[in-house]
Amino acid sequence: MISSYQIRKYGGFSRENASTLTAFAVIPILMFLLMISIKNYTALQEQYNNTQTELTQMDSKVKALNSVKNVPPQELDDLNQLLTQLMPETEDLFSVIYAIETLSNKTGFIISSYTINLDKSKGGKLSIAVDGVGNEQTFLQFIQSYRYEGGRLITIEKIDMPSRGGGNLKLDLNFYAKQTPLAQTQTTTEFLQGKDLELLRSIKDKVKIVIKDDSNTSVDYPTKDNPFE
Amino acid sequence: MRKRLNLFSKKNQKEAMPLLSAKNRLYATIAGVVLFVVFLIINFFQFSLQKQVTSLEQKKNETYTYLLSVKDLEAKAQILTQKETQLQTYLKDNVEFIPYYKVLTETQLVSSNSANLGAISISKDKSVEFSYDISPGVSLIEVINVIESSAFLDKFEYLKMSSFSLGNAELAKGYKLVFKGKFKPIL
Repeated sequence: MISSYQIRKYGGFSRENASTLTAFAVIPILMFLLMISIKNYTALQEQYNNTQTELTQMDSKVKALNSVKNVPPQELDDLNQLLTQLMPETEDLFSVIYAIETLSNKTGFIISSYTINLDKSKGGKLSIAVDGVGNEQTFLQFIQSYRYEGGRLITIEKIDMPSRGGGNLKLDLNFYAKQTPLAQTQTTTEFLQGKDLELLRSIKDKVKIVIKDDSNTSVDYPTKDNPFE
Repeated sequence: MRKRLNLFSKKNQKEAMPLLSAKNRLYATIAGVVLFVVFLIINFFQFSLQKQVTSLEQKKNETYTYLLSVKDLEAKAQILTQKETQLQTYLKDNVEFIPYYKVLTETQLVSSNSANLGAISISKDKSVEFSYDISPGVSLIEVINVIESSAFLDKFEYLKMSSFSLGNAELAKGYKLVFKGKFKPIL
């Protein structure tokens, strides 16, 4: 049993050390609260940084979109259609022949033969060796028109001109057909700039776009349920 | 002798020894105060940061809503951008004939029409082979001086004469100079 003397003794001890005991109790509590606060602050700082990064990306996307924001949606569709025609997703030899014939008719540079060069045709590139006849004027006209005006994108890898006056020329032409890698475009934050749009518009003026659209085909005609009536 | 009760006696109080010395109690108090102040400061910064995060989140939501509203435009622009990049890449694979052709045609080797540009072969890497057909009676020194002038040579990364033929029937006793080289890019 605790005697009254002991009670007095311990009571005196508590009164004497009240501040010390309080400090013993408060300091660990404060340290615990401080640790929680630091942890919360760190988490909040991380959240702030992440949000800031996301917002920066979004802002740069908005800023980039401003360059095409004023372009009418129809024009964007037309330019897409134009580029699909110039560089189709799969190779179409008919459009290649059509492009060569169109250029020949347009410029007067006569293309006498063409041969597909299988060794050089790879990775969406079709290489064609072309023999042509013409004078300097028709050849230069061809050289000024070949890139887009046939309706397909054409580049020339090599030109052999036997004499300044023209004669039998040999050209190595390249046609391109490649699927646009859409997966890469998902993270794009850069869009067409003014000069790119100008380039596309200037190409559009030179090329006749062939719209491949079946939606205008009329299905509004009388039908019979019984074909023997 | 009669015992008396003295309530002012300090006999029992001496037994209640302090747990810490006065110095250590001071340290404990200072530590407590410092911890409390740090706690307050961190909470102040946390509160301030929380406000900034809330503001950023609100801005992010607004931007996200805007981007959702122009989703179609973004998709079209992305495809168009990708295709235009492809186009630019392919265009680099091109010979760009005309400016280089002009360098050769516009160079006057001699004052008269006694020197004519003959065959030309040019590749996309700008390597070139060309010839000049020179009529009889034209000074070779005069022609070589023009070819070796800095105005002409500056257009090339390198240029060398690969062949020289003289007096064949085709050239009616004139001579033919064939050069091989590589053009500097003309922008």
